[in-house]
Amino acid sequence: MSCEDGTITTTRDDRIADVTPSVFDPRLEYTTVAETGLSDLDGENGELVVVGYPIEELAANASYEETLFLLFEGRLPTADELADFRTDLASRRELCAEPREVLRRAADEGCAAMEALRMGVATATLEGDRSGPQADAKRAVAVLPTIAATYWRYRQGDDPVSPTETLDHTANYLYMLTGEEPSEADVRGLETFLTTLIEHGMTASTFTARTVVSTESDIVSATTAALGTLKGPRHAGDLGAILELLRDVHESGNADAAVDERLAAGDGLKGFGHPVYRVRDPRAAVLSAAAERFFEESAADGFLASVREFEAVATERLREREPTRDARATVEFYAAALLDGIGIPKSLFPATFAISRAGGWTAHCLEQLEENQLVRPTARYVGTTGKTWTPVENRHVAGDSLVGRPVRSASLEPVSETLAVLSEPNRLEILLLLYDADEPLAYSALRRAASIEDKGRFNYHLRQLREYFVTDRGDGYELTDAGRTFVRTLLTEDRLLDDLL
Amino acid sequence: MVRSELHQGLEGVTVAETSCSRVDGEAGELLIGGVPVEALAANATYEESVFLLFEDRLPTADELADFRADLATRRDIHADVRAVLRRAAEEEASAMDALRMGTAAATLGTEDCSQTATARRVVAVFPTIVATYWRYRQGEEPIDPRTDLGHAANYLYMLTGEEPNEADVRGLETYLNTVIDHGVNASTFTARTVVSTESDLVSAATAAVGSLKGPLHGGAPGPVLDMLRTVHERGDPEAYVREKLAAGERLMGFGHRVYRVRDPRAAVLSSAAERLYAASGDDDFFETVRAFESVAVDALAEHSTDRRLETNVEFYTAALLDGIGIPQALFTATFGVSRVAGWMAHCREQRTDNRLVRPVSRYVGETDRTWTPVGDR
Repeated sequence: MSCEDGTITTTRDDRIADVTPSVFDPRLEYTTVAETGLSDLDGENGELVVVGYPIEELAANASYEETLFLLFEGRLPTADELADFRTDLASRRELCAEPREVLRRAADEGCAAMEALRMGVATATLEGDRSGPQADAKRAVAVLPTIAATYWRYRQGDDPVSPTETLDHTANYLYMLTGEEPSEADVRGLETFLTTLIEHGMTASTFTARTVVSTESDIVSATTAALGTLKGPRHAGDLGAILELLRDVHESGNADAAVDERLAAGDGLKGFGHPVYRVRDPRAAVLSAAAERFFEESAADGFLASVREFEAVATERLREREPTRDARATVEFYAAALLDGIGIPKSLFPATFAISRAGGWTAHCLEQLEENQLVRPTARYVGTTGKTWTPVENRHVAGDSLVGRPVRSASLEPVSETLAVLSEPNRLEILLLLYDADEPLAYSALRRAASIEDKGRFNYHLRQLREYFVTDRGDGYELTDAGRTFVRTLLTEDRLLDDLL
Repeated sequence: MVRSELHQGLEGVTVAETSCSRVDGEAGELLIGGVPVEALAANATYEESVFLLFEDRLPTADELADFRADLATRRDIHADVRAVLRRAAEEEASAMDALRMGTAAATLGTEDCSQTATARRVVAVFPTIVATYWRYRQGEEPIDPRTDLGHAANYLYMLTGEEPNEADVRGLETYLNTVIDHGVNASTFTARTVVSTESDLVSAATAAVGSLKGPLHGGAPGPVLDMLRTVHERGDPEAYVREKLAAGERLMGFGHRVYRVRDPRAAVLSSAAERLYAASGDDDFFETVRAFESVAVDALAEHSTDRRLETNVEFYTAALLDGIGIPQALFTATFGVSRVAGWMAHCREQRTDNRLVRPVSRYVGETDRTWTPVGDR
């Protein structure tokens, strides 16, 4: 097995794996962890296929429920199946009173939306249908918008709006945020966002969900876990910051200056370049078209024009700087513009991403359970061995009595450098001369008394000592307390006579 | 593009370098923070073991006193979280479901959200969540934690409302030390993956609880106890073992995926259980457990010649926790009460040398489908 970066190791600790050598791969970038029928990413050609359908087709045509059905069942639903599936999902949206209070509290304390979402979804099994993995999967997907909207309403100082079964998944989310029935353009725009981001291969959060159910745990636990993973800025990205960037550019009206400024500051450009796609992220094209449709209808297309110009300028500048790397606008770039246009508050951007991706997480869990294998990787021990037990009264830590906590060897280095100053015979002679003098010695007297002939060398050694052991009083040189203590303890009669013998 | 190999269970894939623990499956040895589990289990308080994992050394007497006091101040849970736990208990949700709910909201009402404070908070609050749930489950009011009791003693106190005896505390403390960390298993790996995105420790602990909840990981100490009780009531362990094996059933509490010899934790818990039952004077049951172990190990050796199956950690966990008076429904949650410190230590380790986990999957589904309008399906 060959690995570019991964080292092949067989150590004593890995003997569990004596059938195959153990591969060190902390990012798992060289390890295929699952076979999946859910999505296929082609980073070279910029293609994303979800259960056989190019993402462009799904985003243009499918409702969120249809896409979810596709992920769960591997095929599109018939009209009857779709109607049943919608009704079924809609019946699983309610949140009981206790989690609502937790969300109110979270809003009062100013917790982030993703924290609130974690608290809420962890309780999603309450009052629920616990008949099995399918029920848990539907419940987790159906309840997330209710949790996000409930938190948001409290955050605004409003009472939450109960879900309504007459509206579809997407429309109902918007309705619960505002209390008003949303416009068709808003629903269509959000539906495209939710459908486009629903599934994207084995991301960290999806892999977390699969690892959780690999122990035969449940899908609500897995969704909670995945949400915690998505919460990290290295995964969910920073849609909010991208929106701010776009707003700045729009207000300044000068895309060129905005791009140059940021590149000059060495900050890089948020929203450009994706670790997997070497060409343009296909989802960026889908959301760009959706944003165009949306902003035309809402007649707020001045903002979109700024966004487009910014993309064009940024793409060109990035190409000039790094011709080999095709750093294009990522999905986040147009996602931020689109969500803002729809009226989703900026602080709910990551939560809205989670509302979409929950479909992928739960579908991956169902897939994992079909042919389950417990995830149990190996670690390499790099700690100490052979320690024995020391009773508490016999434990001693350097520096504990002086500073009340252990002193690390790094903080001892300056002290050690100070001591190194003394490790030179000419300097010891200077210290002895000053020790013997009853009063401060003038430079000329000291220089005459010392056996070092070269003036430059004498000055050099004196300068070294002046840091810590010798002080210049103006009328002459004398030992500091440290210098005096050192001479008295180490340059003793015994030592000096020994040396003479 | 580098060829990527399929390792579904990640068996044989080394995902991290760790100094938290070393599992040597061949020799049957376990080091925790460099200390052999046998030495740690018998000597340490739980707080000492937590300090060892967090700081990679044992605390001095002063440090230990400070650490204990600090943990003890972080035990309270917020009224809104209690209400959720009450609801979970009323609906007869499992203890692990309740623990997930309580952990997810563990930061409510806390001020300091630094990494160190959060790690300590999460460790400190687990027993309160479990005990609160359990009290409600019994139809009783929860008991507030007491800061003057150690971690293990306070857990027992919150379950019963009575100050626990020394033998029970020592027994529980030994258990908590023994299972505090065990390499990178599914739940620990889950926690590490969560923080690899620079997410937070509460999210990681919540995720890990979800992982531990699964029977393939959190294990079967509950069913082992049922089995031991059945055997004790029926009397003849040998007949029971033969029956089970003849029926082609597995014996719970034997064999471990990693250990080729006896799980070193089984030995530690076995002597802890022996001490406990000797102190309580109820050693009838324990004699059955011992007899069952020796009969079963022999029978299993005859039955499967390729691999020697010894008792695993679950076997004596069941006997020990039951002897202490931990309700069977809380066995897995009590495992979580211990392991949470390992999770937190691994998260801190992951954060110091972080690499985002982003594995690869292989697409085996359909391709080239085209859209069919719903009317034509």
